[in-house]
Parts: sequence; C-alpha cells; structure tokens
Amino acid sequence: MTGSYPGAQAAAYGPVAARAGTPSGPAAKDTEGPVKTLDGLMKALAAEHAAVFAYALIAARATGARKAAATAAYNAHRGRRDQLRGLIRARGGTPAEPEASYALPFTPRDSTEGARLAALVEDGVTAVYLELAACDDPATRRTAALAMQEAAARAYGFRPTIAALPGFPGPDPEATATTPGPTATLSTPSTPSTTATPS
Amino acid sequence: MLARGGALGAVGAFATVALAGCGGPDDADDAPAEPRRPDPETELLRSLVAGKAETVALYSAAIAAGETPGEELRPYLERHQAHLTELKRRLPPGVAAPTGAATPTTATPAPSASPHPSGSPSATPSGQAVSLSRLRQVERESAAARAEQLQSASPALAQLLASIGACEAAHAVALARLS
Repeated sequence: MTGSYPGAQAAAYGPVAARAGTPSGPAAKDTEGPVKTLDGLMKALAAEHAAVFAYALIAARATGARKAAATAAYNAHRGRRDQLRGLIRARGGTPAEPEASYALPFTPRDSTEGARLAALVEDGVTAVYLELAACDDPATRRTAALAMQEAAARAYGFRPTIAALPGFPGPDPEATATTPGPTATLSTPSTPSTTATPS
Repeated sequence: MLARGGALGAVGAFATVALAGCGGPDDADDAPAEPRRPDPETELLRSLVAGKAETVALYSAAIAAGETPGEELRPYLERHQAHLTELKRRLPPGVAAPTGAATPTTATPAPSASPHPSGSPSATPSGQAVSLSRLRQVERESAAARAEQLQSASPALAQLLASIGACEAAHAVALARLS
C-alpha cells in the first residue's frame, strides 16, 4: 500500500490555528480545542515513516556533503520514529507500521533534486508536528516543539531559506529559495516510481 | 432533570461563595472592585512580547553598528518583527503591550524586561556592540525557551510558540554561516 508523504499529510490535517485562517487571533484560540495526544502522535509517526522512506531515496542518490547530510537526517528521523512508537505504546496505542511505499512529490534523480525533496519533507514534518504542539499533554508538546526545531534547521541545510512561521501555511519557500532548480509542484504529487525499502 | 438540578445546585453554591466575600449589604456596592487576577495566558503573552521586543532591539542595534552587513541581518530582524506582531495580536483588547524595548533604532531594553524566566535574551547596554555569536546565543536560548513556554499555553498559542521556536532554531544555524 502507498502512503502519503509528510507534506500531503500536513495539508490533510493542518495546524489548529491555520484552520481558523490565520496563525493567530482570538478566533483560533476560542474555536479550536487541544489535539488528542494519541491522535497527534499517530499522525506524527506516519509522517516520520514517510520521511524515513524519502531519505532512503535521497541518501541513495546523493553525493559528498549532501549524502552525509541526508544520512544524518535519515538517522534523525528514525530516532524520532522510534521515540514516537514508544510514546504511542505508553498511551496504550499500537504504532502503525510503515507503508510499502509513499507518494512523494517527485522521485529525486540526483543530489540537487534530493536536496529539494529533503526540504519539502522537512516542511511537511514540521507542519505535522505543529499540530502535535497543540495537544493536551505538556511533555508531548515539548517533544513536538523540539522536533520542529530540528526539522526547520535541517530544512535550512538543504534549502537556505527560513520562514518566519515554519509549519504554518505561507508563501512557497521554494519561490524565494536560493537553491537552483525548478519549482516543485506540491499540489500535484506524482506517483512514485521507486519503492525503496527503508529499514 | 437530574442534570438541570445539578446545574442549579452549582449556581447556588457559586452564589454562596460570592456573598461570603462581601463586607455587608451597605458597602457591597461601594467597595472597590478587587483587582482581578491576571489571566495566565495574558501574562505569558506580555512576557513573550517583552522578550521578542528585546530581540528586535538587539538586531536593530547590530544592523545599526554595521559590523555585519545590514542586508544580511535584515531578514532576521523582519522575521522577529513578524513574531512580535503575531504575539501582540493575541493580547486581549485593552491589554497594553510592554513598552520600551521595541524601538527599532535603539538597543536599550525595557526596564522591566526580565519577565522571561526560561532563557530569553538578557539586556544589552545601549551602544554595546552586538556580535554574531551573541545573536546566535540569543536564538538558541530563545528556541530552547519556547519548548518550555508552550507547555502551559492555549493550543493556538502553543502552536505559534512552537513555530517561532523553529524559526529561531533555523536562525541559529544560519547565523553560523555568516560568521
């Protein structure tokens, strides 16, 4: 079965405040309650599964410093994935297993495309953790916030632009990216042609 | 019916508590209203606004000093200003934002600018040079503080703090490339 990549999940779930149309304001505060912690953890785990899948492809096609960065990111996401599995089990839940493959925006053919995909993956992971940051468990909020910080820092390593409010809907970061390469089409993800199997 | 009775009972209990606080029937109307306890969320917001205003002032001072080209630091300043705007927007109507630190042309922090117990930037005397390493330290400490501050916030404010912290963490990484 094919899963969706983290960005697609973020679009489906959306941040609490963003659903109110703005990243701030009384309307968002008053109309949106906390996210159920277990639900948020499950979604975050799905995003981490997809990120691990994507980075397996990215690392395989990268060279030099980007390969090292992709490998480090792959290991970091595996670490978060395992942490989330533990948190879900601690709450009596059953962690979902990864899908066999994930629908990525595109399949990277080289290091440059891999960097573009990596930045998009980190954007998606950031958005999913943003939802978890609104959960009803303070310790889990902290975990989500730290995961967002790591993801935003990694994204900068692959695409040297910074959003004022990572995770919230905003201008396409690639529109102002200094990294060369064509603009990604986030809204029309292609069907993956590769089915690499991350560990 | 049972639920209704419970609700009425609760109202009665509240009335009893409220009356117990009055001095008597004669002075009940004239007694000055007790100052309401500040809303924790509002207090948190005021603290956050003060801390972010300090960061804005710090970047303004760094750009004014000219040690690092302003064009390179200005996007950082603008993102912090965006954070400040978002935080101020969440203050309830009638609640004044802390003043004194957000003037873009000064590095002088607010006199009362220590309401951020979790690692927000400390004061920098006016005129003192602001190094890139100092800015990096502020970004790192601010990001670390967000992961604590969001724990007691409302869900929507928690998300804003998580997002601001992510931006600050990316700033810390990016500033290293400028030095």
